Amino acid sequence: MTRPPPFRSIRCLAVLVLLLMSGCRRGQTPPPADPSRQEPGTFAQPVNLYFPGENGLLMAERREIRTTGEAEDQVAAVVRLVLTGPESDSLAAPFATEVTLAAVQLSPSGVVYIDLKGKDGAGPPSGGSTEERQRWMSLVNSVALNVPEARRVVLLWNGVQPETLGGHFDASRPFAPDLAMVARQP
Amino acid sequence: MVFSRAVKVRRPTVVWALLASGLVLEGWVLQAQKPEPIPPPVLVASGTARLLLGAEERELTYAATAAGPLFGLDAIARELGGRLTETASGRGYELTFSASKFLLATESPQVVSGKKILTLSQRPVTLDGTLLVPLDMLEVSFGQLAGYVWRFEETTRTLHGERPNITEVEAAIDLVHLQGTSTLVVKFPAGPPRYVVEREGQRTELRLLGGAFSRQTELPRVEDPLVSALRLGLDRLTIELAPGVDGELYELKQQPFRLVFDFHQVGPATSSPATAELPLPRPSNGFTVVLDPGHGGGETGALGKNGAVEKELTLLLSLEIQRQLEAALPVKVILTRSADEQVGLFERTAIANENKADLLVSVHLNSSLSGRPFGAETYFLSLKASDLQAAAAAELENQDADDAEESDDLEMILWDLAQTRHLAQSQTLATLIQGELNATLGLKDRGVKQAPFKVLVGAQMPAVLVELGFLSNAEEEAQLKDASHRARLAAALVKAIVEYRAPQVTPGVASPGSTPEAQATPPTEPSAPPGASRPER
Repeated sequence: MTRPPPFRSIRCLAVLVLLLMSGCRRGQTPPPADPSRQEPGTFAQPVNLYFPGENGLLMAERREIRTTGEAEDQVAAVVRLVLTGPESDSLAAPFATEVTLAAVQLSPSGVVYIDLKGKDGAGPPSGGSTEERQRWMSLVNSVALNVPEARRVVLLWNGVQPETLGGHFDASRPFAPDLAMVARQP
Repeated sequence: MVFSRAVKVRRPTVVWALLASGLVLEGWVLQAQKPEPIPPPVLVASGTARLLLGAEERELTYAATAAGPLFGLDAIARELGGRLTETASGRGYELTFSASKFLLATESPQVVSGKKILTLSQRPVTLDGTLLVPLDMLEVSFGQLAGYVWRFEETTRTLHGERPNITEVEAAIDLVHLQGTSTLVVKFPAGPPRYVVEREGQRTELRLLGGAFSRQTELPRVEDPLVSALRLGLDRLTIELAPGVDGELYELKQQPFRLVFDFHQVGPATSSPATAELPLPRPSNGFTVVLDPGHGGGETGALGKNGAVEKELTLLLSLEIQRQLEAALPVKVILTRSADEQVGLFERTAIANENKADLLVSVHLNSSLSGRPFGAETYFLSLKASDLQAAAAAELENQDADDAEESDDLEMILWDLAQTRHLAQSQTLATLIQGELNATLGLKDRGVKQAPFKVLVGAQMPAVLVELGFLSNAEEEAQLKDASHRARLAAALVKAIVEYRAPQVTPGVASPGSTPEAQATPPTEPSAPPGASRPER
C-alpha cells in the first residue's frame, strides 16, 4: 500500500523542473524587498506575519509588503519578509539569516510551492517538534492567511520536497494554515 | 561475575596458581638471602613528603638513608589504583598493580615479579608500620606498567609522578538504580578506549590502557543499594560492590561508545526500594512494544544550549524504558534503532508494523524558538490535526481525472487510515502516559495533543509520541542530562504501559477496541480526552 518510489521521484523531479522553469521565467530571486521603496507598478499591502512567540505559539505582527498584486508575487514578498524576521524583540526569527527564497510556484488548485535554500547547500534546520512546527507554520500561516489564492503550502528545501523538515512532521503533503497555532493578542 | 566482552576475568585457578607460585617465590627469595646478612639501614631523615600526581597532591611517609630517599608505598599504590598487602607468612609484602604482582621484603633488596627477580638500589624499610621503598621500586612497578615518570625534588621534599606520554580520555559516568538493577554507564565520546576490566571480590576495576581519565571526568553521587562506592584514579575507575552483588558488562559500540555495567543482587532475593515502588502485574505473553528513539545519525534533533543532543538522550531514554519494561512485563521490546544511526520515519513505522507490535512509542525531546517553554506532552495522531489527509483528499478532487498519480495518492490516504482505526486506543495510552508523567514527576502538564507526526501516520497499532521535556530550557536540559531523572521518566512511561496493558489481560475483561469488531469500527475522531488540550494561549 505504499507509494512506489519511482512515482515519488518523478513527482519530485517534476516539481524541481517546474520551480527551475518558474525561476527562469521570473528571473532570479530579488534581494529582500524594502517596503518603503515604491517601484513602478507596485503598491503597498498590509499583511499579518506570524512569528514564533512564547509557549510554542505564533504571534501576529502587522507589516507591509509591496506587490504587483499577482498572487505569486504576494507570496514571494510575504516569504521574504518572514525570512528577514520580526521587528518586535519579543518575537523570534524562524530562520537563520542565511536562508533565502529560491523560488515560488502557485498551482491552479491553490497549492503554493515554496523552495527555500540553505547557505552552501546546508540542510533544513534541526530542532524539537515545537521548534519545527513554529518555524514552518510561521511560513505557512503567513502565506495562506494573507494570500487568498494560496490555500495550502508545499515546502521544499534546496529544490527537493523532503519527507520531513526536521524529523517530525510529514512534509510530503501540502500544509494547511493552522489558526490554533496563533496566540490570542493580549 | 560474567563479563560478556573484552573483559579479563581472573579465574580462581589462575589466582590460586599465582598465589602458590608467589608463596614459593617468596620463600625462595627469603631463603636465598640468608647466607648474605645485610646490616640494618640507617635513616638519615624521616617524616612526610608531598606526592604530586598531576594536579592531585597527597601526603606520604618519607625517609632517607645514605643510599637515597624512600617513600611510603601504600599511599602511592592506593592513589594509583594498586593494593599493598602483607603476605600470608607475614614475612613480606605483595603489591598488586595492573594485573601484576610484586613480592618484596624488608630483609632483601630483591623484588619478585612473575618470573623476574629485580634488585633495588636499597632494601625497603618499615617506619611506624609503613613500608617505604626506593624510587626505583616505583619505576619498575608504576613506571613500567603505567608510564609514570618519577622525580624527587629534595629541597621541597616533593615526589612528582607524571605520565608524559599518556593521552587524556574524555568520559562521562552515570549510575542509576531501578527495578533491582544498578546500571553504571561509562560513555567515551571520542570513541572506544583500550581497556581491561578486572574483578576481585566485590571490587570491579575498569582500567584504561595507555590513557588516563580526563581531569574533567566527574563521579556521580553514590546512593545506591548495590554499589557502595566509586573511585576514580588517573587511569581507572574502581567500583566497590555491596556483598552478594554480581554483574555483567556490555559494550555499546556505536557512537558514543559506552560501557554498561549491570549489577544485581544474587542469593536470597531482597526487594530493593525501587522495586517496591512499582507494583507491576504480570500479564500473559505475546505483548510486543516498539520503542522509537527519535532522530539519530546526521539528524541530531533538538540541541540544548549546554551541549545536550536530542538523538543521544532519546536513545538513552529508550534503552532505559526497554530495561524497565522487560523487568516489569513478559514483553518483547524492539527498538527502531539501538545506535546512533539515521533511520527514516517510514522505516520506523514499518518496523512496528512488520513486527506486529501492540504499541508504538516514539520518544522525543522538545525545543522551542524561545527558551521559556518546559514540561512534557504526549501526542497521538488525529484526523483533524492531520490536515494532511483532508488536504490530500481535497487535492485529489482538484486534480484532473487523468492524473497518473491519483491512484497512488488514494493508496497513501488509505494507508494513512491505518492509524485512524487505533485512534481511541492511542488516545487512551497518551492520556495514561501524560497522567503518569504529571503524577510521578510533577512536570508541567502540557497535555495530550494531536499533530501530524510522520512516524505515527502509517502505524497499524496504537501509537503515541512523547516529548519528555524541552532542551531549549536550560533547567530542563540539565535535568534531562541526569541519568536518575531519565530513569524516573522511563519509570513513568513503563507504569503507563503496564496500566494500559493490565485490563487487556484480565480474564473476562476486554479492553475497548481490542476485539476484532472494535478494530473494524470505521475511523472516527475520538472525543477529547480528559487531559487533552490545545496549545496554551
